Amino acid sequence: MELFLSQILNGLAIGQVYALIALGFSLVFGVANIINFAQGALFMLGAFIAYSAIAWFELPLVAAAAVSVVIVAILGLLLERIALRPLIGAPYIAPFLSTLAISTIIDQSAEIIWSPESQPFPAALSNTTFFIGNAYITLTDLVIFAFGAAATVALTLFISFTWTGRALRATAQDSAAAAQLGIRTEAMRQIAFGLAGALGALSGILVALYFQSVFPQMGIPFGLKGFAAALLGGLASIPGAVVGGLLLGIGETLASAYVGDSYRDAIAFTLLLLMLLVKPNGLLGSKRLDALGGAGAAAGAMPTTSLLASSSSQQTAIRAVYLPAWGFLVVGIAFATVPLVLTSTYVLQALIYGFIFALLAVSTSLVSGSVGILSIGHAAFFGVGAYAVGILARPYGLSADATLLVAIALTALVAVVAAIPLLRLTGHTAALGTLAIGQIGFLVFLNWVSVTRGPMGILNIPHPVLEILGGARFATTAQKYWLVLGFVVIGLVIAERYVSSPIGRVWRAIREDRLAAQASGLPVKRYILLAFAISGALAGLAGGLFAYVQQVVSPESFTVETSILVLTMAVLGGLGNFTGAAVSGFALAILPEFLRGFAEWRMIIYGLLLLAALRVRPQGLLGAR
Amino acid sequence: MADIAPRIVIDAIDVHYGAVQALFGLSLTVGDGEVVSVLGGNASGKSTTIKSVLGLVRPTKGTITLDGLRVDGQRPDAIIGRGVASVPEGRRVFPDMSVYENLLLGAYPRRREAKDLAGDLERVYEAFPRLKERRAQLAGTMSGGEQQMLALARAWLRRPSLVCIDEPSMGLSPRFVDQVYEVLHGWKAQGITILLVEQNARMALELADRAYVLQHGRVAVSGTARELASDPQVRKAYLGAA
Repeated sequence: MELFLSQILNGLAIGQVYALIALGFSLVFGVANIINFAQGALFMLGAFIAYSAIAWFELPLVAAAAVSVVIVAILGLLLERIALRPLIGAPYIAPFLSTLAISTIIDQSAEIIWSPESQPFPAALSNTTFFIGNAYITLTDLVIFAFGAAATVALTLFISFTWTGRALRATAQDSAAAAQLGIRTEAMRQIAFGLAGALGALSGILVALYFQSVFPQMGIPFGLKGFAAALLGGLASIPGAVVGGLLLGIGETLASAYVGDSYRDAIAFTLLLLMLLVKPNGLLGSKRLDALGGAGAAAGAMPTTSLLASSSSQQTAIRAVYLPAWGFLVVGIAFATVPLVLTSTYVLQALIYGFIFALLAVSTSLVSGSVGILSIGHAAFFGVGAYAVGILARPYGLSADATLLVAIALTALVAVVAAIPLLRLTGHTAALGTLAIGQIGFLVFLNWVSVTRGPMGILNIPHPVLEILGGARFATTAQKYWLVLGFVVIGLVIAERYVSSPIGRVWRAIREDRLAAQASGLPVKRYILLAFAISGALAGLAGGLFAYVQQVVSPESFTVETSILVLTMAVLGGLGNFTGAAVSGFALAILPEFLRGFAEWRMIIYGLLLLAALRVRPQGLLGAR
Repeated sequence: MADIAPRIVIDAIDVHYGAVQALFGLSLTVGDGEVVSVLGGNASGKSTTIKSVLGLVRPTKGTITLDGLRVDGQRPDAIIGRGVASVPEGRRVFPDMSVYENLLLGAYPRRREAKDLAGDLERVYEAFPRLKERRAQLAGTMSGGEQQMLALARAWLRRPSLVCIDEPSMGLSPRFVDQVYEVLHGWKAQGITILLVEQNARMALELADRAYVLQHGRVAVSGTARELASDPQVRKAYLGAA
């Protein structure tokens, strides 16, 4: 019982921090109607700038924190300026992808500046422990709770009782009406982003104090938890963000105490998915989410659920360029001749990865583009396929026919189950749901040691043997090249056949206007699940082939970075355009081979590419379909 | 009245929504203290006219001047800052804010005049006892007619010299339409200049000094309210006259 109470007190402290991150999401969501994916990056920068101020310039903690809060608030303003302002009138999904790109760039830059390693935070609060009855709480926890609570109260007072606060809320509720009362709505947007930056920095510093360490990858998990907290409480609601943060903090602290610390994050993300499933408007939420295509599909400010539509009436239609299904076969046959001419294992190896990522990008494009549920979690499906092969191939001595079949079927099943919480969501919220799925997948690969062998990974995966070809063994690189190419071409042909069929037309109808699709009597849910099943099958196949090529499967291949990468491929190719996805997947996968010396710049380059594409050609290279 | 120093001069503006053109060389003036009504059917360009004046849409051609200074291409807040108030189409009260806060936001450009504000708020409560009663209630929970009253009161708290009003009678019961126009007649008596867009031509022509009838983005007929009210064509098309 004492433990239980202590955990609750402890959870309140970390929960207060989540509440701050959540408030950052809520403010920006309210005023600018977008989910700022870069909130996590601002949070991470807050922690690191404070860290540098202490470690490099020997500032005291309070001064370092103040410096960090100010700098990150300014970065928040810049974020709005650079990544979002130019996209007003662009497709609805562009701002979200833009913040995603910025966050990738910031995260990777942080790894370059501060090294990817986790570092001890150089300031600590005293570890004095207080007892309330038999339950205890440390001074650190108390200070964190007090600071978080004070910031929340200050923000609430500001929002409720100042002219600027009222104007902020008015802009959040009806931007056009606010403008007609003389409110500078652009300025309100900027203030919201500045405040979100300040809140992000403050929460980053508090988390650094709480866990006594900082690491460049902290942004995404904490950003996602902050979003989970915001969603838990109702995205646009400020008291909701606080309640959500506290509940999440208590929930995950209890989970880590009674289930195991490695499950802390997995439980937080599962909670997020459950919330999406049960009550997507949140505990204290209003109908505001609907405006983003949240719970009720096409309703509110956004008259369509389409990712590609925009509020600008000045849209020009871009003709999509794509191959028919047999075209993939022709291209595949052309590629099949390459090993006859080229013998360099290095080049063939690069091409093999190109094929695998082409398939993975198409799989992502299917759900993200054709159905319109932006997937930032595809690495999880990719991983399921890879692990299925990794686990089955050696100990059971199964042939590649069998393992790949299991990989395909299992991943399809996992994808369908994962899609269930997403069924009622569209737009940004669905995207964050997929992100949670991706994170859960990664955490399972990492922590389910008895099956996946955890961080060690599965080594020595044997060369594939196909029973169907009379036990042919694919041992050399050229042989594996043909094997992969063969399967990828089959996968692409099937995918293209689907998307060009009446089924594909239904998918696009669901994407364009889910309500209208429902009103036309289409069984929307069934079609979405079908899309996830096929997408999962393709990703599972890609993963299985990947395992055979790598001969090693380990969790770091299936991080959120991979998910962002394949989504970037899908967007660059033109969402829903499988030819485009395959081309850009292939190109972006072999690109790093040419950038060997700049390995750490890779994600930055991808981020910049995505950012540039959104500005210049949001429909993708070959046009969205 | 219209000849001396007009407040608003719209000179031959074109407005496009993407590829669609909504206004074709539209010209219109509003004199000081005048009530000018813009009438017309659906998609005739009435709302676009008022939106152009408020800076919510930008003309692709032509100019708009307010008190002799060009305002086309300026942001709405800059235009409102020059003594203009707006009663938007569909009321657009802030649904999750209290009636009191909605009223305060009307006075946002005057936020530094704290003293006068308190007095003006009292005057509003006197004129609209219903709003006083419900001042703590969320605006979104009120009826359409009450919301329209709130939108009017909110605009009045701007203490404007010029008000742009977009379809104040839309979706209201006849009782509330009468109340709305009672308020507008009061404003006219106070000397406030009004640009009124309206589908309810009968009510609008009773209030207005002059009016323009738009058709397909062009001025079809214009003249004094009395002339138009007796114009057989206007009577037939907009007044349902027998």
